[in-house]
Amino acid sequence: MQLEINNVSKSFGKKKVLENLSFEVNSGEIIGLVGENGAGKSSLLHILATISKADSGSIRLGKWIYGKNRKQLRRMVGFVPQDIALWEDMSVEENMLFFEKLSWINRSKIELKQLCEDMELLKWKESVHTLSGGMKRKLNMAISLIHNPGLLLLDEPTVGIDLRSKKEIAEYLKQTAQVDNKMIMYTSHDMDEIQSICDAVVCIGNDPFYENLLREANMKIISI
Amino acid sequence: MMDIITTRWLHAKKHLLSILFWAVFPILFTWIIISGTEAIQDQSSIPVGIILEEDSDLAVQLKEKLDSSDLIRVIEMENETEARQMVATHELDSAFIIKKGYKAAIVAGQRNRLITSYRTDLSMGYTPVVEMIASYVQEDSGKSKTAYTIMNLGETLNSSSIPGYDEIINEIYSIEESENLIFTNFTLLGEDTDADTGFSLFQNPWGLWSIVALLSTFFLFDWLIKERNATVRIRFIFNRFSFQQYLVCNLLLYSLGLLLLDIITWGAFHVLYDEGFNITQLVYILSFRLTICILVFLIGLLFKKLLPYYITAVLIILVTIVISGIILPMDGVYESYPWVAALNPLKQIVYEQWWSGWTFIGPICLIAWYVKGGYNNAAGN
Ligand SMILES: Nc1ncnc2c1ncn2[C@@H]1O[C@H](COP(=O)(O)OP(=O)(O)OP(=O)(O)O)[C@@H](O)[C@H]1O
Ligand SMILES: [Mg+2]
Repeated sequence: MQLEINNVSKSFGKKKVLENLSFEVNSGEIIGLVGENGAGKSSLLHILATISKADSGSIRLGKWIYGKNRKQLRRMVGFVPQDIALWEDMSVEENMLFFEKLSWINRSKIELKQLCEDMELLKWKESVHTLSGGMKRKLNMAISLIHNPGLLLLDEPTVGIDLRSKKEIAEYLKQTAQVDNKMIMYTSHDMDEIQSICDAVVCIGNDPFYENLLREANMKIISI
Repeated sequence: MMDIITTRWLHAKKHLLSILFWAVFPILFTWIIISGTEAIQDQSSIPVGIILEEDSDLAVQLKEKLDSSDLIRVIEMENETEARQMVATHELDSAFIIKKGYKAAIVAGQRNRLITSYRTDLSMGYTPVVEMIASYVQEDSGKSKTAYTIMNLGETLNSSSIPGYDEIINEIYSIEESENLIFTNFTLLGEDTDADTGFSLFQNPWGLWSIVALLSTFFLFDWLIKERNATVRIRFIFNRFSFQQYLVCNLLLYSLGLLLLDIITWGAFHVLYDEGFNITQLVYILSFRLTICILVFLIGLLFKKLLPYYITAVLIILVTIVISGIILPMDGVYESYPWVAALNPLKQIVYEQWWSGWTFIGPICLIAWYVKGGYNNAAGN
């Protein structure tokens, strides 16, 4: 499966956020989105998640076209929001069950538990409000994976958490990209992390500073 | 729907106690208040024994008139010795035996030794009851005399169409009744005489229940505010159900659950208070329940925080009590602004009608909200 982004632009009022962005991503690849605060990383993820619409340009995922096949696309996209989106008073188990019930596909309890364990989230019975930030991030991610999406979009999944959880999340992403052949796009401000797990990067905002940084790190930049 | 029920259960089991409390609150509250007022009335009234030796209409009427007084509580008895015993032990304040031949004596205009009584030195009710009886007897024998006078007059005038004794008495009663009607209901010109002004709201189980049911519905629907303003909302974009569908399914679920409770209440009120138990009533209850659920849901959509929502709920209850005419009579207001009565959310229950203004406004707003939401949803890619 391939994601093709062609001349995509987006502006909020007079402010141009994305300008003629074009690149391609294939299944099994992990793409990092970098750029300064306010560059438009989240905006791009929102467009790819069908939460908002591009002003111009075209996007295609496999045989589905953005703007036409919204329903089909949503079933294929897993979106991990920048803000943690969990029911705070429910346990890990209950959160997983809740979204499984509303999901397009049926998953057994064992499968759901396995999904959490795959990313080292072991506190199955614990209430979310007693979890650490890292655990919450993991659950935030696990819920987005319940419907087994082919394209996974993560908005700063590792922000504000300790190195151990960071590493566990990174490991999981690498693993699921390779083994499950998923396409992953994610944003982060952590260059080391991007270097260690991404196959390529998209530099948003035509920022020479970031471009130099990425060249020095020998990263493959796939957009202009 | 099964899936929605499961997700609702995941939420509800965290607040099970408060949900149960609010669910049973209306029927419980009504039961406590009604039993409370009955107990107070019972305690403050004086128990008086009555033995009817004859069951003529006049004798039965006398008993009923005594019974309708708030001051005394009439206990009908069969046995004179027993009554005497109970007066002696102060179980009864006093006892009165209406003798055989009571009616005949009244009709004949004879007013002596119609009634035998028992009392003790502590009988507080004795004197007032005697006075009441005396005035009723006076009234009845007065009527009787009037009837005879008319009949005599007719005879003297040699009129061929002299009404009979019973006819005259009945005529007197019907005149009295129509006068009483005007007196007690303050009926104004041009108004429907059967328009209930809602004064009975607190004495009538359904009236009391309806106001508390409205309150409890507001408190039961607080999930709407909590869930609508949670960050989790964004996840519904990637679910089988849109967030709006999820909310509407839950509205339906709550409405059905509460309706089930209402039907139990309907049966309970029938057993406890001898309230009616017919299909039209079920229609009022159904309409009331669906209407207030939609209304509360729509109001909930306007709020981001719980506290302002709760405060608004209480204010709405107060306004409803006012426009139901409990605190101030609202007849004048209804006359000039009929829509006030139509917008009473308790209309179906209090006035026994199958609709209120909200029965139409609510679903229209709900559909508008749903359609608009679907449109907004489609606007994103
Ligand atoms: N709904 C909106 N209305 C108006 N402006 C918006 C909206 N969403 C984003 N913006 C603006 O678009 C620009 C890009 O925002 P975006 O959130 O995509 O940046 P970002 O690269 O994710 O930044 P960060 O690293 O801080 O997360 C910002 O200047 C922001 O103010
Ligand atoms: Mg962002």
